[in-house]
Amino acid sequence: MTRVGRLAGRVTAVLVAAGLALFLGAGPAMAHAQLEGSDPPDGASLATGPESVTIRFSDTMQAGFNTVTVIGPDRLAYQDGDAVAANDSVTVKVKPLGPAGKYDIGYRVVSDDGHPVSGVLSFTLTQAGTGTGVPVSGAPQAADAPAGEAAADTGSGGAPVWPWIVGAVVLVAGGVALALRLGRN
Amino acid sequence: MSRAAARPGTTSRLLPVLWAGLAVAAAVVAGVLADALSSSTFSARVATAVTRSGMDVAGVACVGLGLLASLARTRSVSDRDIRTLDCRLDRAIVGVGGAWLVVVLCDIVFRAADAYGRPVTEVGGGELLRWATSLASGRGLVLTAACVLVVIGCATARLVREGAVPPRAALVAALLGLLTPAVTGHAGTSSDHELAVIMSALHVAAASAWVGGLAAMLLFLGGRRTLLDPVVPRFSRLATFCIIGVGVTGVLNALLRLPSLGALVTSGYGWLIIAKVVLLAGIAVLGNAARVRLAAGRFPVLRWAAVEVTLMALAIGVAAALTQTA
Repeated sequence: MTRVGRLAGRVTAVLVAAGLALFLGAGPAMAHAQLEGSDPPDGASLATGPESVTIRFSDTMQAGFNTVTVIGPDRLAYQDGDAVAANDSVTVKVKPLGPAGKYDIGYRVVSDDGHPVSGVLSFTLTQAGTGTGVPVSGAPQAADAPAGEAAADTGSGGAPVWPWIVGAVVLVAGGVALALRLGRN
Repeated sequence: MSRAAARPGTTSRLLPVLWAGLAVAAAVVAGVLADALSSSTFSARVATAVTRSGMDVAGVACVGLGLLASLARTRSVSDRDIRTLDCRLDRAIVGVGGAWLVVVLCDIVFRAADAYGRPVTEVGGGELLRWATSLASGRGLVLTAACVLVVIGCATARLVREGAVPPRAALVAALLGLLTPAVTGHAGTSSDHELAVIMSALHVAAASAWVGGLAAMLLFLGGRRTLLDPVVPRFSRLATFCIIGVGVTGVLNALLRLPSLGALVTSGYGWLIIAKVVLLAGIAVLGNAARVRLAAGRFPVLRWAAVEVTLMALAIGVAAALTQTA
């Protein structure tokens, strides 16, 4: 075989491999935490507002990472306090609701595998309530407090950590360089 | 053609870069195509695909280097040859281990930022600590970082004082570091917990010893008859067990996950398994051809072994993308 022929053979082999690899990559997402249900259920019609909203998932939910919002037709937030994670569900208390109409339950949760899952559910309030929401920007947006830790630990986790990471990377590089110099040649 | 393989200059310096690049690129493309982590931002998905596949590549490389150091310890290899090889391998382990540690750190930060849904620059120290300690996957990554430190420590100790630790120590630490993310991932939270974890661990261990060992042999023994002759038969025996191990654990893992045999042809996951089996068979045939010709002293086959490792690198990249998907 000529040199060009051999090169072509090798390129073909790599291309076939790449094609196979891409085909392999088209697997279904099957093991992330999945939405299993909610209370009130998605699309429900309610005469009176619920006291709380609970969303159930297929995996254990971790405290400290979950956000649940209840946004009314007036674009005001009606959730009361932070979301609480227990086993496979996340619950948030709800204030007395306001005008009749469609309320959106937005969630962003993290299960034990560390991957975030987000989505929106909704229910319809058929009779106006007496409550009033708070502007969305003023509502608690931070993640819920981890179980057993002081509430003061919620919100921001302090100063940005990335300078420390950059420092650690420089330290590792320096250590490797030193080890290679110290070693016998 | 044996000249190119024997010359350690150009070919052997470019090949590992090419393999690592291919694995990472395959992970990114496969992850994007499979629409993994659809709740995360595009940049977070790309960043974690890069760090995750980078971790796997560096881990497999360290396992291969440690394995080669262990395999080279036979009576038929002279002390002088072993000393030279050990020094080269340990220096490589220190370098690759350093890169591994950096990628693990980046992975922790990227994934924590992803979990909080915020840019990397806004993640605080307390939040990072909470992510790394309260989640199974976070704890797994911290454990990996510890294992990598041990790997680097072992190799450095061997560089400073000859024979300070047996080469097996770095190999075992590298294997553990490679296994932790695999067993704390989705397998760790699935229904058939223990079995799935053991199967994943065996699968990753066998695959990494096989791929890493072959790559390390190509790069460090290419064209050195005095080393190839005693080491290749030892590696081949191990590779046979690895191929069987990868196949058996892969099939068992698939049986654990698939709801029925019919799903093999009706679900995307089933097609994935079939394709993986075909790929495995192809690599096994290539590997056997390489072994037969190596044993006969025909070195042009090193090129084909390089193609084989290229194929494996792609498969590793895709596997990394899958850990984020399925």
